[in-house]
Amino acid sequence: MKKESKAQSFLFYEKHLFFFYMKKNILSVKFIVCSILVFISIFQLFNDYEYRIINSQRELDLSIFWQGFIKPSHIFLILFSAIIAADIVSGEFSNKSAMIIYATESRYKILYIKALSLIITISILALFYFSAFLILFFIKTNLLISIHFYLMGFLIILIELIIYSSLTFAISALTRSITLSFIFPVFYILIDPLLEGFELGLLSINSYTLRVIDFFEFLLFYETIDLNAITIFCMIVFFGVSLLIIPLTSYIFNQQDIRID
Amino acid sequence: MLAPKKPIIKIQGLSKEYYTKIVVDNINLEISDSCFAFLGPNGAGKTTIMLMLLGLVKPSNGTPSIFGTNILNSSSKIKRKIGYLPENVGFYPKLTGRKFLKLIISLRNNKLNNNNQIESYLEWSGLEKNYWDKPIKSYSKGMRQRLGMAQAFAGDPKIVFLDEPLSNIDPLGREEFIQKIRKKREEGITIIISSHIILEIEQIADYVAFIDKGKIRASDKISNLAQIHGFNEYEITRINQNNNVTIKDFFEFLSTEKELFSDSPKLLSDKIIFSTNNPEKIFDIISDYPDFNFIPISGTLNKIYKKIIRGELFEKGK
Repeated sequence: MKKESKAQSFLFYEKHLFFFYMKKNILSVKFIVCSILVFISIFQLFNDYEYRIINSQRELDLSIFWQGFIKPSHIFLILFSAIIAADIVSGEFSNKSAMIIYATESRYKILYIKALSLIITISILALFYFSAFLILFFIKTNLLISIHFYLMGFLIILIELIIYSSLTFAISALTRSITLSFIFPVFYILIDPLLEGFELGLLSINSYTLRVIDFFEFLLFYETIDLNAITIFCMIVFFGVSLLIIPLTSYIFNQQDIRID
Repeated sequence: MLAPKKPIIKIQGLSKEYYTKIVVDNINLEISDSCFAFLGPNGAGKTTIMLMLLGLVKPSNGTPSIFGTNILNSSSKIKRKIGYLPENVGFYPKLTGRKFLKLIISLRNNKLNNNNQIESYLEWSGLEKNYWDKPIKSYSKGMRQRLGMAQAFAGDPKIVFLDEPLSNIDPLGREEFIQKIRKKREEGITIIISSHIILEIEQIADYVAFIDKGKIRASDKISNLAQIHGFNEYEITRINQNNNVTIKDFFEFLSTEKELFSDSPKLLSDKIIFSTNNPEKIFDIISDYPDFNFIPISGTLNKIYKKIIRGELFEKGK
């Protein structure tokens, strides 16, 4: 009886595959190393933190928001999210397990499950970063950031990380090469801040992120809505690009041959 | 076309081109519940046909369908009925053999995923017990091939595709696997093999398709091909010891049917050898004796291969 209900359980195969990939991500050496490096980066952050007299909660929120959440995350978290995503598809082509796995299950299903497990893994890393920062900050100063600023910081950074990791995911799936999946995103992360200087802001994720941050900063800190066409476009790109990258990658991947000689 | 049974696999006008090179050229084939082998030289297109049947390679033209469904549009439900051993088998290196099988079984059959089932497949593969819980990266090539065989048959698939299944396995292991594959076939699994080692195929397959330069040169039951190409020497061996009829008893029984044979059958220690121009009649007789196997004499397939692929000429019957 028990066996029968197990056999009919909803999304049995998908759940099994999802937990397999989750476990593979979380227990991987690179995830553990990235988590340790995130923790070290927080200590480094406290050393660089500019302490000054804070008169109000708003001042504190602004200070933590810019010095704790936004600035340093651009360096470490983005790089780590790209590292975690780099071999998520190409790894199976490198060890040749792809032939067996893709012969057994639909490619779309596998790719969506991988993308979901990647997003959750990145979320765990970001949550770890934000929580560890807050706890250490509280231990050191006895001060706490307001919950809505905390959530906003977390949301923006998480979406930015998802954009970078989904781009890496796309490169990983379409090139099927671990080396290229590492090199391209790292190269992009390095040149991204320079793109605007060369009037290539449209290609810079960083410029979209800063627009979105500006919008929310005005909304939450100064309670003003600065909504113009450029901001709307940036918001659409920022929140929608990952939603576009993952299905597009899955579609192109589904059209390609899977053959490892 | 090949067998009276309803085809499980149907290939219509299947072609594959890589840039301007035609790798598979307009293939039409029906495969019923049997052990079917693709034979041909390296680069003939055997693996490509297999990969198109598995939905891993997209055909340039034509449709491969399994259980009446176009594999390109098929759901996971069809894929779960298929087992596959690739030519260059690969695994997650950090996973143990047991965990890899657990993953594969869980993707194919949610009713069978328990430890006993996993162990029965590992045992079947002949993988040493002390390696079951070791990471696959510590396995030798032969061990990986054995694990590959185990995963191909794990989870109760209805069709199993084996691409060069006996490569990397030592000679004794090959004999063992030939018996194991035959046993699986007897259990009702449709087996599709691709190989260029003809002697092994001869012992496993019922039907063959000779592929050369992307085209099917000939395709039929091995005994029919032997007859068509003038090779009329056959052998009967005892494959099971389930009943009391010995090879000697069977020889005595056959000796009474003199009109079936071109010359008198000969009894060797473990088989009966004879020439016949009427293999269908002998098939009819032997179908009542499932413990006995009736096939063209060892080496016949090799001769047919040489005749079809290389155009070599043989004196009739030799």
